[in-house]
Amino acid sequence: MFFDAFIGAFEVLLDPTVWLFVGLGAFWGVFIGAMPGIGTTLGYALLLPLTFQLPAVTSVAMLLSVAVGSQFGNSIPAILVGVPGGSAAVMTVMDGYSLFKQGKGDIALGASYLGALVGQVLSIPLFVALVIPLAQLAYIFQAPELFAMYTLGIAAIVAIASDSMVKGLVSAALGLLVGLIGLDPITGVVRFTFSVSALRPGLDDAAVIIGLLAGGELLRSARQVFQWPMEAGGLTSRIRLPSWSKMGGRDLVPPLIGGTIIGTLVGAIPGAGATPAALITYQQAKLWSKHPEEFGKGSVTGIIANEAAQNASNSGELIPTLALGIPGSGSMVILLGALIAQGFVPGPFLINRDPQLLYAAIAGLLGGTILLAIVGMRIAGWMLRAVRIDRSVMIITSIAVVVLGVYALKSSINDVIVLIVFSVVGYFMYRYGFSPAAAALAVILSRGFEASVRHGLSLSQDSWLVMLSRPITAGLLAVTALFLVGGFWKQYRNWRRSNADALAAAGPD
Amino acid sequence: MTTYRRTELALSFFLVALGVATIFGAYYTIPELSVLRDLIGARGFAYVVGAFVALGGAVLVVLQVRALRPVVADAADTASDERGGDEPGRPASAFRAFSVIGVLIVYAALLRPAGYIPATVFFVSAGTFLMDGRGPVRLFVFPLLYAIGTYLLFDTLLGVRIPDGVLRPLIVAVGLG
Repeated sequence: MFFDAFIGAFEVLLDPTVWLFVGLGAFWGVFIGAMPGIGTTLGYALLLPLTFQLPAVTSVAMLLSVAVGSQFGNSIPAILVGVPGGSAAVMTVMDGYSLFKQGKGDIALGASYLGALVGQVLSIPLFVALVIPLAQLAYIFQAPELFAMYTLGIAAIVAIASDSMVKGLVSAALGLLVGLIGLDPITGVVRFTFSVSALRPGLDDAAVIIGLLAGGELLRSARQVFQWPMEAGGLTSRIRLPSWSKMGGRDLVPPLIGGTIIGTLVGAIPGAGATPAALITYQQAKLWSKHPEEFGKGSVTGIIANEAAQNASNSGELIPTLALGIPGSGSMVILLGALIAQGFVPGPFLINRDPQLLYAAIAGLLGGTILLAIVGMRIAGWMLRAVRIDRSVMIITSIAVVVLGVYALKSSINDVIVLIVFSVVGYFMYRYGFSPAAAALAVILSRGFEASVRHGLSLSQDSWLVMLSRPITAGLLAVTALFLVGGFWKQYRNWRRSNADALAAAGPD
Repeated sequence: MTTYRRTELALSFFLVALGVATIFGAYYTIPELSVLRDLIGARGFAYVVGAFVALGGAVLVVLQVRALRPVVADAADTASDERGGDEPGRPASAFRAFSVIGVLIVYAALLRPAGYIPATVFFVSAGTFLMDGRGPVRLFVFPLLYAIGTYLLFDTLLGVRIPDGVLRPLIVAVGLG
């Protein structure tokens, strides 16, 4: 099965159309990654209209190549202007921008490029080795296990991705609330449709998700008008990759391997994504380094480890998404949204029923990496110019693309209205510290979550105790509890710290 | 107390109201079928989710009212200015964001009757103007090229049915309809 997956991926890559869209995705990924404030999730959302018109395999491959490009692209402004393209590139700013100011911008960009490519390639077999046995577990999953798994997915994203646990949990509940609209998954009675026939089948998941994640973020960005400062600092658009020895030679191997393994494993935790993967890897690389004093002041090994972890997390995020149907991040929520729009049912049987989706994922990651290996440094040079694109025009056209994408789903104005409503909801969620990612995940899981708990109780003769005491269910719920306790602990610690700061600022009076 | 914190408090009260409305809405509008063996039923999940939203909103109200204490209020006001995802050190305007939402609603209303190209030219042009974009290229040339380009890509190349609206005769005349 392991080798079958790679053979399947190579077969996907035999199609020149797939290469065309993988190339488009990788280039788009580098571009949106290089634009500060536009992350992978928004990049996915903006390409979504295109996916509705493509075969599922091509769509999946293209979207994953976006992720490959984006994690490399977000380091370009981090190195060149000290502004990270995304939160995962924060540590790259410290070392990359320091190197750039020392006149070693090419070494910083080269290290970022190398880390991204190697981290991505090495993480693919790791991802395949983990996703296949996990997907096989699905055959022993019944409703109680599914219920526990959905609970874990929601709890994990709330605990990791939310600053406030209460707001994170409320966000997830709001997502579940959206899932209540339409037909009850067990009895088929209508709920909360207010006699509007268009609401009977429920709200379109893709319109809701794109509104929450992309529309909300774009409207929040529309609050400010400014242009990122861009200075080439002596670099031209033709940047050459420095030699292996100039970057550090054999000293680069441990951070590359370490970053790849940590990035894949941390990325596999639903809700974690590239940022914690990069932060944890950076700390580890500093601990293992012969020159920890260089970290934060221009460490090439720091950049390499960080970049390897960011790209490896792309593979990691796919593990729960494809094996269990629990999206590993906001961008994976959009990926599942794209699959739902194509008629696939996310869940633990996704790749068991449709293994071509796994092949497409590998093809997208691999194809995107190969293309970046060929033209990545050249594209990095182009980005020196691309980041000068008018931010205001970019925001408005992005909103227009999102509207077109949602309209293209079913040629329905109702979906556009849903998009606008949830864009406004997303705006308030982003502004006031709620978690649109948790809400979007809950929207995707809501019907399965409700159906699994109700079926599970039927299976267990209406006994919660019987349902919760099954070994896998109990194990998953124990992990859920750990996530929740950990999340509340993190928030309590932050609260104590901010209270102490407030009291200290208020002074002895 | 800053506008940010007042809005945050208002949102928390809204969540309480939404949760309570969900519970009552479930009770009064969802029929319960007794033919199936189903402990939770069609209403049960709505009760739980509604209660969760209401309870979460109530907790947020309590936390925000506690933050009004004089000792921490000033620090909380300062912190609130730094939250909300805005880029620090750059002026932000909620009015601009809501104006864009307004233009977006008009765009949705125009999309079918006027057609994709005129509606999109209006939206991109008006939106760019709201975002302080000026000059004929940004306000007229770019929106027109963008609308025509995306129309050709999606309608002609990818086969998405995009509304032609008032330009239907022209589109048919040039052989694209």
